[in-house]
Amino acid sequence: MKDEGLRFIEREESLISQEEKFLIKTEFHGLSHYPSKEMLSPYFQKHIENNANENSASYQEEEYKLDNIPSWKYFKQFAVFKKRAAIFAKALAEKSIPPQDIKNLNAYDLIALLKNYNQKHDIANFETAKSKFIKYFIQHHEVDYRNYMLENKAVILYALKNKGIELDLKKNHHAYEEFIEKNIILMKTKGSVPPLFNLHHKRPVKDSNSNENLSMANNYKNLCLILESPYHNMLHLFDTNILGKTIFNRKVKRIELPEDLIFFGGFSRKFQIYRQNENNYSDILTQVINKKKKQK
Amino acid sequence: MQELIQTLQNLPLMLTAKPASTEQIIRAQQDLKINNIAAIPQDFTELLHQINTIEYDGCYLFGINPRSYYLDIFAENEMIDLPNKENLLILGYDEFDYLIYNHTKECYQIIDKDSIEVIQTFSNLTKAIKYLFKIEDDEQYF
Repeated sequence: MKDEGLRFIEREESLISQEEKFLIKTEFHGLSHYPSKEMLSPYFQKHIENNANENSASYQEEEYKLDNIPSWKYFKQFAVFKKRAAIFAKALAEKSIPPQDIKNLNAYDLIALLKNYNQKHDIANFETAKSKFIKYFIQHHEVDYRNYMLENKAVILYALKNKGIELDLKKNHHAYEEFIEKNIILMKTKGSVPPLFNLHHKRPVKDSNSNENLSMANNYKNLCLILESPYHNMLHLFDTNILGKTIFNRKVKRIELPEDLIFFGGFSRKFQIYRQNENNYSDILTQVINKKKKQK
Repeated sequence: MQELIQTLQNLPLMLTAKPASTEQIIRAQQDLKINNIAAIPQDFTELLHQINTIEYDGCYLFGINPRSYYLDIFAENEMIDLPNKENLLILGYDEFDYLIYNHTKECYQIIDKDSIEVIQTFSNLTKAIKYLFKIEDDEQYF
């Protein structure tokens, strides 16, 4: 495994809070649902119950200093939330939450406010980190992905069969190729994870304890498209957590994938795709510079 | 239930296996019982007769898979290390959470894979599955 770039790593890491993890999940999956009411702060629950006069808002969005909300320090680490600071302030004003009380709000309250505001004003939800990654992957590696799927037709058909799905190749000789093309179209247009694959967080979300940069958890460098069965399942079966003295000081042992690995379809390097766009970009830049030099 | 089935069938490129037979479901229930794992709830067995396992956009629902451990409700529950297995049955998962049926509380729950903390509780299967598959909910609570 060492030769193929997989490393069994032991780290000292500390857990992240549920609020931090919730924001990572929301950035990854989006705002399809409200958080559970039990997760809301007692202040906000009470405010919802009492606040029937929604239209009598007497506060301006400028009055809200979001830094006074304890969990805003987590929100502002995510570009997707940071650039919606004005919407959060508008949502607070719309719900007539006194500016001096926002210190009582938690991360779940803010997400509930954002979803409600988007729903009410017909604002499209932000694009999820999952969808962004898939679009990024297929934009840069469509040829590699198609080649992998075509070269490993037997493996993919077997995997489908193991799921109880059989493509009718006798009836339609191009059924498999059509299956690939449909996948690619959905990856490009909707950013959908293709069937049989999943996204793997190389450094697990529970250990995203870099308080200064929570958004690294869903960064494309930390994600990898991987065959769900057997590889993704297997990687997590190897997770070993050795507790330290406290839950904030523990050792974690697991297989970690290289940072530039973007697709894992097998242990051999020929079944893997590495991020090369940066290299390609610098190659292209070098080629352009050289071409200009020649022209001169 | 029919509305849920229609919604699921309309998901683009949603993969599902052949519907489970009554015999297969009975066998799975027996396997779960012998291994001291909670039983499959009634409305989930009804779903399995029409939609058996779902794989969609990185989210998964278990069913009866006689060919492999993959997405097989018995094999997956036997493999996943969850406390209180005699009362909790895992029905599916996404990258971060499990969808379970809690027999003690008679409800569906979304729980965090690592901390086992309850994230959401649902009284019916349709809402729980919509949550798992990120199917937009029109519900408002303000």
